[in-house]
Amino acid sequence: MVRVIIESELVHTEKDFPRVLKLSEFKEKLYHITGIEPSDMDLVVKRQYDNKEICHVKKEEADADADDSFLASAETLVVVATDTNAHSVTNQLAAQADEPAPAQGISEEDYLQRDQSVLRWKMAHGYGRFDVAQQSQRAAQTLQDEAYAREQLTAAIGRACRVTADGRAPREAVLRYVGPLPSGATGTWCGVEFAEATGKNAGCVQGVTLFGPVAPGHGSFVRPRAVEILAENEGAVHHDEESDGEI
Amino acid sequence: MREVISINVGQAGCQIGNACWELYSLEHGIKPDGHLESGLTKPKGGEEGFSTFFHETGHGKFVPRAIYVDLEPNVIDEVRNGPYKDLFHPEQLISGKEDAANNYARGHYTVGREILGDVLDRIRKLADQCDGLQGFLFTHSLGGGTGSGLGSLLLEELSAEYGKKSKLEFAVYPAPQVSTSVVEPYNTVLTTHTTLEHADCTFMVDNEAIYDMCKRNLDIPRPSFSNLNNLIAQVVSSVTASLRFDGSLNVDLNEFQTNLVPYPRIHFPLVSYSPVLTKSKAFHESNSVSEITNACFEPGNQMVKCDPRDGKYMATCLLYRGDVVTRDVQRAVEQVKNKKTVQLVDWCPTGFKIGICYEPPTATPNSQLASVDRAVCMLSNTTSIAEAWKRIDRKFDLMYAKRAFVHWYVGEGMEEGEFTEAREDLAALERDYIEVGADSYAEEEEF
Amino acid sequence: MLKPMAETPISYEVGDRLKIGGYFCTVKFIGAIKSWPSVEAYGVEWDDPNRGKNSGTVDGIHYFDVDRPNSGSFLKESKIKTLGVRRINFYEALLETYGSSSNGMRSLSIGSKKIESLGFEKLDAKNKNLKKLRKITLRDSDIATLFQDQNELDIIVRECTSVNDLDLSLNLFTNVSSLCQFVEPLKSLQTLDISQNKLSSGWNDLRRYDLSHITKLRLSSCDLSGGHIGKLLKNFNALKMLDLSYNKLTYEGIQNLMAGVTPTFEELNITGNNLESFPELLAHMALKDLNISNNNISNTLPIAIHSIETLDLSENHLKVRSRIDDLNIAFPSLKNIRLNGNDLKSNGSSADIEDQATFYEVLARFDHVMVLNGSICDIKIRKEAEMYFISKVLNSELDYDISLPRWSRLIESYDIDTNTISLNKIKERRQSLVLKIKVRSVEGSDSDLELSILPSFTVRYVKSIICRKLKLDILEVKLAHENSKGMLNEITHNFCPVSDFSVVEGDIIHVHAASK
Repeated sequence: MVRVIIESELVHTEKDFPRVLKLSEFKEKLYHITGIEPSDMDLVVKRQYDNKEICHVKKEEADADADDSFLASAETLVVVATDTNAHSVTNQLAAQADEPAPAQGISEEDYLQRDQSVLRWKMAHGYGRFDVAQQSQRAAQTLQDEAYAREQLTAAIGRACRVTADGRAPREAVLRYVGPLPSGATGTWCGVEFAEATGKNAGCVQGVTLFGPVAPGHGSFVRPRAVEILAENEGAVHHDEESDGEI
Repeated sequence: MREVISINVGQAGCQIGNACWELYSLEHGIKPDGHLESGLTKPKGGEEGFSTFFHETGHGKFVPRAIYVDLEPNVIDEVRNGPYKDLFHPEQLISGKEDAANNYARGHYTVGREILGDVLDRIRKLADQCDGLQGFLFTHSLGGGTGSGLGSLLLEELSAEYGKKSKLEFAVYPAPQVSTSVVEPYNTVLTTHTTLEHADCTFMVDNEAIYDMCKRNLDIPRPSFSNLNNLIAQVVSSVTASLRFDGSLNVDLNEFQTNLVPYPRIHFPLVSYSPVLTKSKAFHESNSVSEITNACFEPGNQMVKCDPRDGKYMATCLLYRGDVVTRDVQRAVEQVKNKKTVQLVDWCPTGFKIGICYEPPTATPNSQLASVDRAVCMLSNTTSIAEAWKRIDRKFDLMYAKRAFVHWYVGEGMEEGEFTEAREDLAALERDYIEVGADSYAEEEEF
Repeated sequence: MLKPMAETPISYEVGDRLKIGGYFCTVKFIGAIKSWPSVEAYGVEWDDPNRGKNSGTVDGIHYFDVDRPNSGSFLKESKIKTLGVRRINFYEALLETYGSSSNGMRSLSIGSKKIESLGFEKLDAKNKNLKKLRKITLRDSDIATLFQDQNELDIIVRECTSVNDLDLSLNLFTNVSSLCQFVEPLKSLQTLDISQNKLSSGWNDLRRYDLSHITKLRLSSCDLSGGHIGKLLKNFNALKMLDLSYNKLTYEGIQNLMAGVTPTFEELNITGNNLESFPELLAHMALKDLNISNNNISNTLPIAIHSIETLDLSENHLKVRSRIDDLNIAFPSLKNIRLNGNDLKSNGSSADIEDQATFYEVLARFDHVMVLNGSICDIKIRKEAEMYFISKVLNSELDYDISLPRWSRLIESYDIDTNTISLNKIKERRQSLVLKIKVRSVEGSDSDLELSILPSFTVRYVKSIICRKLKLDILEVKLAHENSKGMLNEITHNFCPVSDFSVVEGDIIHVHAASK
């Protein structure tokens, strides 16, 4: 067996071949790896360790089958296969490889028709938007949120508040913004500024600055229900303490 | 007894198999000739553990519950003549004479079918040695002819013969930049379509991602195939550690499925592993639980190139190995929680699970991997892995629009309709992933 | 008993190590300063100089010295408290870490999802049984005191009866005597990691301890001098593995401490120090694995060390391709070597280690290397590399000394006819490179010594040859070079090749005693 490294426009691989192989047989094997038609194949066989060319089989010599020992090498060979046909499939594919073309999708009708799909599964189990109870609960919550924001939060911008969201421990913050977000999420949101960098942004969403901007990671947007306005004397935020005790 | 039979198919599958069995042997204290290392009276890992992967013969010898199949003889001849030749019984190594010529149809319909009966016979023999066979573990490539064609054929046949027994795969995904053959996209799409309903869980491994890890993390300027396979083996070992050692979580193959796969079609968890460090760096850099956990969320530690920060997590399993304490795990998970890049699909019935195996990982000699006290392997079912399907589907489309090389497949008796059917199935799979990502409200709580 | 002990009161002393807000520092000054006359101010030196604000001077008054400029600052006690600081005992840390329970795990959730954990109750139960614990990791655990009194030490020894691997890296304790006293009775212990601790006290009253149960010791980034390490290592007399990486050790420092090392020594890591050459004492150890990466090594040893199989030489200053051949002679059993990060020039051109030709050439220059720069090679790759190399040398495309035994082994194994003209040509060229010089001893009355050297030999190597011949102590001689015009120049740089001093054929080297 001789190890051969095969290189072509589309392929780079390593394979072992028997040492005694007719050229036509070898070309046939290469065809199934590189996709280059044997009749269009131009081959350069090199010794791998010093890149020395051993032979060059030009396209027109394709049928010369006399020599069956060109792979009779103890050393690893490199075979560079070139497709001489400018209009061949491989050359067309190589030309297209970098073109930005999205993969073809499936139509919504066809997808709906399928027995096995995540959509069918969600529908069958009432998951996500098919969860009726949760949907109505969410609608009610949204109404509550709107009312709470309108009646209490809008007037409290600039006040200290406690944020309980994301399943995390309550964090103290200052309420900075009440209103909608540019896109993506519906309903009313509250922009808050944390004393520590425990938030998710700087007061900006999708390039739009809704408050601040504050220090990165000190801002977040949360649902009104996550915000509890603190009494005036509660929640002392020590911002400036930091530089005091150290020189 | 909860035995698992490993089935390594095709060149890539067999070579990864070699690296895995070398590592398993080291981990359980078994020498290349199948006997115990001196000083041991029984293999490491506890009776329950090691016997899932090794069978003990009457003479104090341990034989892997494994089978190697390839349609051409070279790679398996290397096993037959290699340092581990005595570990296996000759019957476990099956090779044909005529290769699959990188053609799924040859592996699946013509050449592969000739060898099928023989392979199933040998698998039956292995199954007969088991008291409570729990399932099969496949390693194969998706792009090669044998790996894709014969691999999927075996999965189908085992489904028919062993019914509900679990079937897990480690599948080598075609590297984004270099192809090993021009028809890799066809083979990948065809085999994925065929196995979609037969495999319970498929862990994909992209050689290019592994190559980058070797270069960047292990400081190997020119990684060889041995380097890549050693690293893959380390990851496979981490995934299977919970089956082979006393511990918890995924103690049987079925649990992988229940923990990770919310819906049978969505069964391609992304695997991340940490730490991947050289000896020189290992003790200079800290490997605390929270650091290795964090590293799992970095794309540089993933086995497939995709960006989970763009996707949503349906399910995540963190499998710790070695010296960890509960408190550190708890802190690490709290840090993960606060990552804005970790978004969960909240309606999905699966979730976040953490397990532990007390045995630390072992580094194979020469692997460049440092022996570390602790490691973590993260299996996450994330929608971002659909990127991998998009890439291959696009390549398929470019070729199929011209019907390029389709006649190779038709020539082996395959119907052209199988191409369109497979491709539509993959399009539906992409659509499935979009559907998974839809209707999630969790991320709306804060951003 | 699993009850944590009482908290230590918050009062620090000069020399104490603190971790304040995640940054490590050493207390250098305690007292009132002009800016804060009524409070106690703590002057500290930060390990990370970027955290510092000054060099111990405020309002024009200098309160303490720092090792690195601008690494100091002054803190009020209240500030230290808000930033968070604690100093605890080993036993407290042990109970805190291994005595913790998984109750908290049960309530963890992400978003609306509960996190399920499995096996942690069992893990907790396992860990709480201190007597069975084999591996203890207390890295970065704020341990300032290993034990308070003999009574506490007795408790620890009674509890930790099975521990064989202890990681105490990145903590706050500083006293080397109490460290030794602590380790001595832990007889089951074999592996000890005290990396990244600043052992700054207890050196004067360091007595001898029996620490022969420790076989693996890590002392990475401890800022220790060679003298200190030497003193400490006298107590560890059965080491198999030692990690001294990132300690700013010099050649002399390493020579010092290795004098006391046992012959069982197998693995040594001295990466990231200030070494300009291989310590010669390596020859007296049975070392198998040496990591000497990230130093300033520019030459190899003049002696052969047969035991070493794994050598990491990456990120050093080896500059000439023929150094590889020197390595092959100095380390004849090498199987695994890293050379990346060295600019191994050949014929003046830099080498790209990722380039296949260079990779093959480097691999073939070694007799037995199978892992080069981390790449695992098989027999097939080795053969390819050797054939490539032979063909290049035969075509005179590579500068290679064919008088090397490696070459005869190569051509023998490939059955190559050596009587080719091109080979003789290379031989001739190589011959002309050898310099014949005369050595004249100033003190002795002996006649001149004739010596053949290569211009690439380092000064130190030439010194060692001369000293061996004249039976002198290498540390007590100086060399001077007399050129053809009779001018005398002292040869100073030990690790430069002699060619840097324009030594040519026929020149005379004078040897005289170094003034003390």
